[in-house]
Amino acid sequence: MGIYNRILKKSLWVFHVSASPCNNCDIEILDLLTPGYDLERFGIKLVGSIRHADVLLITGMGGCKISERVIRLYNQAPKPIFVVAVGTCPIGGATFKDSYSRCGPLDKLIPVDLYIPGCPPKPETMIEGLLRLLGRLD
Amino acid sequence: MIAVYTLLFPGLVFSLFCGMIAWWIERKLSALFQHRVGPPWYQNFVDFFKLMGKESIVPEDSASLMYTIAPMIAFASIVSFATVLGGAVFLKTEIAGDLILLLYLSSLISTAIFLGASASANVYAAIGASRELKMLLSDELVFIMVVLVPVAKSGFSFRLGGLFDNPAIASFSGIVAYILGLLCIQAKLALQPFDLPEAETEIAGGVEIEYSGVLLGIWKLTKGMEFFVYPLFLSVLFFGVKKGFSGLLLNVLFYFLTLILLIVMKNVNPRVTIEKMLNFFWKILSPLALIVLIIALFGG
Ligand code: SF4
Repeated sequence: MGIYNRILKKSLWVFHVSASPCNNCDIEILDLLTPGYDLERFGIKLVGSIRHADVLLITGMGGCKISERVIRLYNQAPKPIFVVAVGTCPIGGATFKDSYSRCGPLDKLIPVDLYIPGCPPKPETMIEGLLRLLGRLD
Repeated sequence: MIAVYTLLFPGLVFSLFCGMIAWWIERKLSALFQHRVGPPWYQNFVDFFKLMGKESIVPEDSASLMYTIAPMIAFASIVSFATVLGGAVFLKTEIAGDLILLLYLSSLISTAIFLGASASANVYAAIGASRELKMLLSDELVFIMVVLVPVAKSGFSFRLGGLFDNPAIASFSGIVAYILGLLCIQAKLALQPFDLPEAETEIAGGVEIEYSGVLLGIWKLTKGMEFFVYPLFLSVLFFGVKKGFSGLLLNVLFYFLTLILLIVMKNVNPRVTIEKMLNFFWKILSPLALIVLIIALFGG
């Protein structure tokens, strides 16, 4: 597994799922692709299809309707797949803590490999988080 | 000997390596256009090896046989394309009518993409597949007429080797045909403005959307090799193959000119809609290509 992980580290394709966020985290994720932060230099790129993904980047508190879809997406993804939760929402619900339609936290639905807390986290924090994930693959 | 030609040089290994590098040049230059840093040079190789280790999923409702063999048909066609073309360019092998063979192989690749996409039982893939077929119908006619220009210039030889001695680019019709050819190659490589079948931002990867793991890796290999062989085909078609070391240098320069023109065109254009693309190819480029061909027949 050692060599494979070293290769996987250099080419993580990210699929972005928004599971009922307030949308701030998603905007910050889009910032990652702008020239200022440029994730492609680490080989990380956003893909449009779950079948191509290595990382599921999930934002939001996990509303009851979207939760089924999150589980379905997780099952549809080719393994190995890593789940990264962005923002405070998937951990504790943030603003939506007491919402009647909350089925989170995320780790009740699918196994999470990494949390990047913050409301919303800065793009720098997200890059640091993703690089930690890379470090953990060693 | 055939096995060596096909597997090592100038077939699989050689053109794959060059193709991955050419694809990297495309990604890197696009990144520079957008004031980004861009991926390191080995990125495409790493992507490919990563895909080899992922799970390959065959969707339940797909036509599973077609779904699995379509990427292999495309890959086999591009390898034979690279072998025949590379044989004529680097080794001076003589095959009667290899020009026609190459035209057929290039449309076979598009057909395989269409088949694979329509076998995968996905709406987006179906949209991508129909667009791929329409693009094939629109660019093929222009491309054939463009290819006929150097053929007419060299006294109707359908051997690639026969075209190399008197380059067509030296005449007026040759220059116009080269520009038309660039547009056709742009469409065949599915780069903007003609990236309709893939259209990442619109139909999420279109034709490749359901593919994963090894099968996706084979599509990526095909795409990488296309980045090498199509520009090479166009550049040797019009510029010929020069002799000696300085000639080789000129050839490499002309290849890179072709590649960079394609990349620049990709980066300064937005995606067009399919009917605009059909109109553009059928109503503007086809008559233009016909006129150019007639001029070439009269020696202009
Ligand atoms: S963590 Fe904060 S910013 Fe992010 S989606 Fe939740 S509420 Fe919005």
